[in-house]
Amino acid sequence: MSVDLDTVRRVAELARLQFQESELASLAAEMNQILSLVDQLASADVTCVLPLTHPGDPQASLRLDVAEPAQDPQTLQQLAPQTSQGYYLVPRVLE
Amino acid sequence: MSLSPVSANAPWQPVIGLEVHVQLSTASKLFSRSATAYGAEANSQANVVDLAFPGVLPVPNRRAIEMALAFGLAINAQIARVSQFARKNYFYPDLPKGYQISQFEQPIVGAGSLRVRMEDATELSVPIVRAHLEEDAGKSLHDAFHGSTALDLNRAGVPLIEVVTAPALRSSTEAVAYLRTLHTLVRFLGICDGNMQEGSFRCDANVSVHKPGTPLGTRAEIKNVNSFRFVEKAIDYEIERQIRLLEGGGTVIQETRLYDAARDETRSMRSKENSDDYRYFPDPDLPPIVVTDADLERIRASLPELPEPRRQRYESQLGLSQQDAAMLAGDKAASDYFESALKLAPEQAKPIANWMQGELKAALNAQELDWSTCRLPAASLVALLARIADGSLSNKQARTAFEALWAGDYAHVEAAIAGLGLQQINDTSALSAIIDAVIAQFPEQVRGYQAGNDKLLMFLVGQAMKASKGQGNPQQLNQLLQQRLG
Amino acid sequence: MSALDLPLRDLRAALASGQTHAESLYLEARERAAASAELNALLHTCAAPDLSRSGVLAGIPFVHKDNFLHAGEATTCGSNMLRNFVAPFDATVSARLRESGALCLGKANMDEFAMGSSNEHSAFGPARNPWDLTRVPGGSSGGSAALVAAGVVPFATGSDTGGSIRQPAAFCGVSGLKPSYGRVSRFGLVAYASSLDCPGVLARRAADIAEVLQVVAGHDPADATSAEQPVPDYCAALSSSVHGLRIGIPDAFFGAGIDPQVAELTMAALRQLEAMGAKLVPLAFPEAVLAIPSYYVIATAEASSNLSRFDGVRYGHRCADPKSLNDLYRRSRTEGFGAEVKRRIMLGTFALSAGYFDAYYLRALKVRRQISDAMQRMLSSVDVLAGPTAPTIAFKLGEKLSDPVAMYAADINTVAVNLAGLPALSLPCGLLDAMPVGLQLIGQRFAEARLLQVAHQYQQLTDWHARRPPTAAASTGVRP
Repeated sequence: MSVDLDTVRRVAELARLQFQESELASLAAEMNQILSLVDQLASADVTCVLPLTHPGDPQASLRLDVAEPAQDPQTLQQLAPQTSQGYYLVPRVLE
Repeated sequence: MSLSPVSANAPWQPVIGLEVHVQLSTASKLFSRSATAYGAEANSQANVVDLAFPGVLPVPNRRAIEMALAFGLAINAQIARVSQFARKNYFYPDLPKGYQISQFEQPIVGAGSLRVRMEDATELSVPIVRAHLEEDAGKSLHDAFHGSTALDLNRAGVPLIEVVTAPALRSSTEAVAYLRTLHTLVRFLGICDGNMQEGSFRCDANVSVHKPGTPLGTRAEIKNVNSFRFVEKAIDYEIERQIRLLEGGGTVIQETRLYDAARDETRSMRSKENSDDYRYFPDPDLPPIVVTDADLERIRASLPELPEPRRQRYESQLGLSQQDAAMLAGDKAASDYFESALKLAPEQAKPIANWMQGELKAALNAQELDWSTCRLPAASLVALLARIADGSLSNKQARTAFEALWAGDYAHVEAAIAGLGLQQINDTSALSAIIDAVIAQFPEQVRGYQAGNDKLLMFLVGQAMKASKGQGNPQQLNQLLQQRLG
Repeated sequence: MSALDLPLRDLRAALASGQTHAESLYLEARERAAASAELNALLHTCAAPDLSRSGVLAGIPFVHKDNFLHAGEATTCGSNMLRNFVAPFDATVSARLRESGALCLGKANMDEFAMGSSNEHSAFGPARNPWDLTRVPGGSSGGSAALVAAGVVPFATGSDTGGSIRQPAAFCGVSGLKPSYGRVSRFGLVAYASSLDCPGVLARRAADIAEVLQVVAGHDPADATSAEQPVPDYCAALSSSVHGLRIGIPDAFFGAGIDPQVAELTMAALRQLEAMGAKLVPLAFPEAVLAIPSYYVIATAEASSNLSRFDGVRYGHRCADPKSLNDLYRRSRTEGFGAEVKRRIMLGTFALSAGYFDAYYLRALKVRRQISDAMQRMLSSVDVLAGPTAPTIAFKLGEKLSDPVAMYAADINTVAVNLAGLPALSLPCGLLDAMPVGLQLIGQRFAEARLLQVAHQYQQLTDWHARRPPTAAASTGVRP
């Protein structure tokens, strides 16, 4: 499997990452190198094998439905790049 | 693939599927302990987990899962004994993690159905494909700050179940009937407050049209309509729009549209990423949810009597009219009120229903109250009806007492009766004394009645009522007068 | 010998008896940290801690890998993205260590967001190996390993997703434990790959690791993947003999990529254990060949999703003057993340994307099950598995940077353990060209006590763990 520049561009957009056109070729080359390592997976016979998503196959431990007291938004918003009157701000989105 | 030719005049068949986001009325969020109360100060119910700080982890809310299971049982659905949360990945500022925790391949509730009673009393069984748990997103305010979109993440993480029907509805009428039935059901189950203004119950409609016998048309999705009336109008508009488009030789684009209530039209949404690749995968932070038979039995045993069996019981066992039964079973608060009154006076089902449909409903409407804030406790209604039944109050007197109780002038029925002097006079000798006085007072009318003018009896009864300050038992007065005067 | 170099048990006794004081111990650790500045292993020194706290680890200084949130202190994860981020809450590991009285000296350098095997992918410069400053300390817990090896602190925390505790432990000549998945809470550990990440401990002795593991292990209601398995007494088990211990030796761990001299030193260590009464059992492990591809698909896929939260909105780096929402996202993320992180996000996003999901992600999860099943099968016939932790000694700075695939391939002996969620420990077992070599022991799930016991017994009869790098010798005065 190898990726072309268009695929790299599409993946970059999905990941909200920006690459210069000049970087794209070397990025594609690196990805292809890694993909040829990863393509070894194709050689495995995985018929009737269930995927393993959680090692140890645990069950979820659940939480009782009890609410904690309200937060002071200020405490966490000290770390925010841009806030106003208790809201987080981003450039205006058109809907 | 149909072999018979489709006539150009064959009617267009609308095909509608509905997705409803039901906000669960848990105390805390689906994956964090933040409170879920509506209307809190911006970002005061958003903790580090909701805000997706580095290092935080989701822990599922047991009650939310139980509510989803209750819903599944109520629609006779297949319940997944093992279900899995999945990540739906996309970037939007109301989604702090950059992914929504939802369910994809293994939803907790599978295929079920909801029986819907139409206004003409026919029944429709609407197939529900699945209902899955997912977290709600925060709120974006686009016009509050110039040049910016403001984010309030209080709603981010509130539990939802998304209920998806098959594309089996054929008209806006069917769609609204289904939505009303679903709305009543979730309120009856106590899993959702059903407040559409506050966004507790949000409807998306997938609408397409086709000619029967041909493949289904391309569908458009109308998002986030927050009233039944608007759903009906939006669907009707969209059906019209698609038909006009197709008959004009155009094609329907698969897209998301918004309903504009002011203009009564649907509009294409601009910037939402319709073609995003969500890259669903099982959430590695959340091991599977396992549901045992014992869990299901416990939840099944805790389910309240559901609206449809309740309605049937009211009609067949209690003898209520179709209309009364439907009204009472269709509103949880009304039904609760009815049931508590019934508990105190099981033989009074019809009078209770009549008073609820009559005097109480009028009083509630006049003050824009609902059954949960009814000013006359069920016990008082029952006491009032008992007084009518034993003859100590006439219907008219009871209404007078009711008005005073409703206004808060008296706390109890007894106090109202005493305070207003409403005791009905049933005692024959007392009534006879009143009649004697009336006969003596109106000799002309007495002679007139005895001469054959029946109408004058009503006059005499009226006068007797007046003389008794309205407390005389009118039926008895009538009877006694007839006896006395021949 | 300074109290700071004592085994933890003895150090605790010295503090309890008043022979040593928490204050002077802490100051000495600070001095040693300053003297080791050339290692570039410490990113941030914590504010003076509460020295009056009591508890089982009271007064004992440690360093915390910089991907654990420690309330009130910087947490950068070695990244520009979090250059100015101050943790508003404690990771569960941080809270438990705080409760125990242990004193956080500072935050250790690491590969950015734990993605790397050399600590060269840090936005704050590489950390260096105290045994040879021209070589890497390993990664991603490079700073943690370097500081323990240099004698600055008796123990450090680390995280291990594909070998990130064990490999730096091997490269720096210290002991490092990756517990079973779910044994130690991940709450407050900045996520790299959620189904693979394990918080763990590095120290000079297995016995010291046991003391610390006792404090941090155990169920945490804030982590839904945390195990309810009861926590045994790790110290009580240490003194059992290894007589009769069955040590499985999978052939794949001695494959073509392993330096023959590393292999020889490892075998010598295993023969030492044999002399102590253990039995060596050769095993076949053909499934191992797919461990690297499976690991890199799963880890990068999970990482690509976990790192989506870094968007310049609620914390972390934001680009200057964003023109639109997408501009905010793209530039903040592109500026905030380093090249290796971006590479892995790209790979992971690709592996999950429509059309490739089945061939990559889903298939990798199935191969994962095969590898995990194979390891369970092997561990049903023996007590532990063993082999060299890393294929070589620590390589030179810059040597592998231009070849990411070569870097990934070097994880060959460690990643299978993470795929299976098993516990594993690396302990020093020799020197090659004056650089440490590590022996890896792998156990069944929740068999940490067994691993610590074997390592401790080995360390009773050998002194590889007591060797000090030349640089540390200068500061502690102990001859290598």
